[in-house]
Amino acid sequence: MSILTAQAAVPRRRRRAGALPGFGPAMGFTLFYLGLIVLFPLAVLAWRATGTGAAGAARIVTDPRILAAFRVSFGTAFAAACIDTVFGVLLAWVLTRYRFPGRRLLDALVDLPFALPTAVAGIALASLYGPNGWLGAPLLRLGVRVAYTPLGILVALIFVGLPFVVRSVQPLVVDLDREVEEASATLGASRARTLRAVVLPTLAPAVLTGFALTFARAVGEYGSVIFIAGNAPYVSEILPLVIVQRLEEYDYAGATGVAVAMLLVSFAVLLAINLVQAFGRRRHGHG
Amino acid sequence: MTWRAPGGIEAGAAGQPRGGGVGIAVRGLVKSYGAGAALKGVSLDVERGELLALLGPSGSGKTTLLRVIAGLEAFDEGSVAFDGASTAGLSVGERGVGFVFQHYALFRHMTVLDNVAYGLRVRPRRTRPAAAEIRRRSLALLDLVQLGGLERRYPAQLSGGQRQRVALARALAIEPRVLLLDEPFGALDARVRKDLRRWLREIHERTGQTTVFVTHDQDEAMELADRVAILDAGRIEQVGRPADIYAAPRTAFVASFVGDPTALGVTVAAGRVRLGGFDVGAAPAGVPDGPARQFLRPGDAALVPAGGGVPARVEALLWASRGVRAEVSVAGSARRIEVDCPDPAGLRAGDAVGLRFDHLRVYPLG
Repeated sequence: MSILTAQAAVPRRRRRAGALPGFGPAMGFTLFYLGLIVLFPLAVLAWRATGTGAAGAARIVTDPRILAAFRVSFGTAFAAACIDTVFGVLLAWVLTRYRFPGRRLLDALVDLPFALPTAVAGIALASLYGPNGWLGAPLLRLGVRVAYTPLGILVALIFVGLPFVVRSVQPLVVDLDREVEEASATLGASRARTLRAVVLPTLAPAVLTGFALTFARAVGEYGSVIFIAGNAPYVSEILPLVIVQRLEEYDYAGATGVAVAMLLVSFAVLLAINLVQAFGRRRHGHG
Repeated sequence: MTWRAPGGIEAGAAGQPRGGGVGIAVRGLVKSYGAGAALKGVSLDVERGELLALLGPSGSGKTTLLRVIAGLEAFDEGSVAFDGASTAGLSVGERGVGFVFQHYALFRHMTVLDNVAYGLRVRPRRTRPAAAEIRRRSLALLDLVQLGGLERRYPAQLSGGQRQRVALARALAIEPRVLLLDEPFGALDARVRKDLRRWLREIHERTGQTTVFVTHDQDEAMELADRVAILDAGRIEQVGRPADIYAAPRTAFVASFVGDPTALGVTVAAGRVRLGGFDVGAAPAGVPDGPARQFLRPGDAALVPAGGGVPARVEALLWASRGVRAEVSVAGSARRIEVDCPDPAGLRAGDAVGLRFDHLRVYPLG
């Protein structure tokens, strides 16, 4: 309101445009685009979900099979994001810091899980880790069953999520100031200490971003998972599959109800990660 | 002067008389390839407690030499010893060098205090002071570098000059055996450079720390250092006190580098120096007949009324803080010559004048 009244009082001195104009059109387009592409579908989803009513919502969130799917989906997604974060940071580090033959090829390979149709990835992984697969058979002899268990879901999610961490962290590794590491070394810090106290805090915002992206992707992943998961209710059934099943039974209200619940949890997790990042930025006096 | 380090321990060689032995001994350093410029056999002694400047153009190897001394860069041949003990086999951290980088290299996610305390906090438990002691020492160092009260700031909230002072405090905190500074004021504006120069000199007088700093700015080197080592293309051309180097450059390169001279092509014949057909004076002893180069500093010649000296033409008058200089051209020489012009009144571009050569610095070609 104060902006409006100030404008009314001093009509000539509108918002100062700054040397680089473009805020108005850019903001307008952003809001329009975000509204059309993101918010509108979500609003429709929420509106469809209201059809179930409060009792329906309660039934959904207390259905043991759906609760189990919640645990499987978010549990495996979280685990996959954690594992991808560790190895993704390592991969980004090796790809940027060292020069070795085949580096560019390896760098290009990282994006493959992005480009591959997820069903292709799922079928490949299922045959590889299946009871007769190249990896599945020896593992089975060791007593580890991968395909058709939550472990299989984890393998698929790790596969599809890896590029997110690598690509988020890589630019920051490139920009890392070597002199900062050298300063730490001259001050007597060990290499491990330098990595922990100097390098990782610098990479932290990108690592968090990569984690969030991997997690979000993993929660919504469908194609690569269903082939390897076995989809046993209460054990290896993921939420997107539950939604698809509801849709196939023409239970649109049930499907949207599960979807909205899933969306809320995901949104809460992503918001929390964003808040952690914002806190970090403020503390470090940049951004 | 018995200044005591914030830790209550004598810092470096504080209290000792200057020149109490060799602090850093560099012998026959060769480095042929790698990231930085090459070194082609560099030997250098830095006295304990001395402030020595490595001066040279970019690519001369001065930063490489400093980084080799610190252990940040490997080398092919030669040795580096601190206080008589070889540094071979010692890691960067074990050498006890305080290193100050041109672009500060501060830990930007840490407060100023945490930056300064870092070197003490990463020590193994046996040698690490208590937390309260670390804090006390770090705060005392921040006072020393005149940043008391800013300990809770982050580096991004400081000016360039303040950041470099934090970097110096951080380097001093580990009570280093030697202090190495790589173009410490290179990224700062002229005014701040000048202040920090004077201030670094004061800090050095108080700590008596064996210090080597790299610079490409000869004014900085001459004003600050006890001795200056001039490098070119991986070799040391001359080492000496600023006054000696200024008065008697040993090689043509040094002569071309110090004193802001104009390089002129001359010929030496029968002990006389000739510039474009004019005899300008007697050649210094030891310069053989043949083509030679003369390095003329602005104070080496004077303008006289036309008819005297070598005929010349005023091309421009240059006003600067160091005084007025005239840019003159001489028949037979393509290069314009800069000459001090203490009395520019009545002089303007295009005037015909004479140029009287008072001091000839002539070096044989090649």
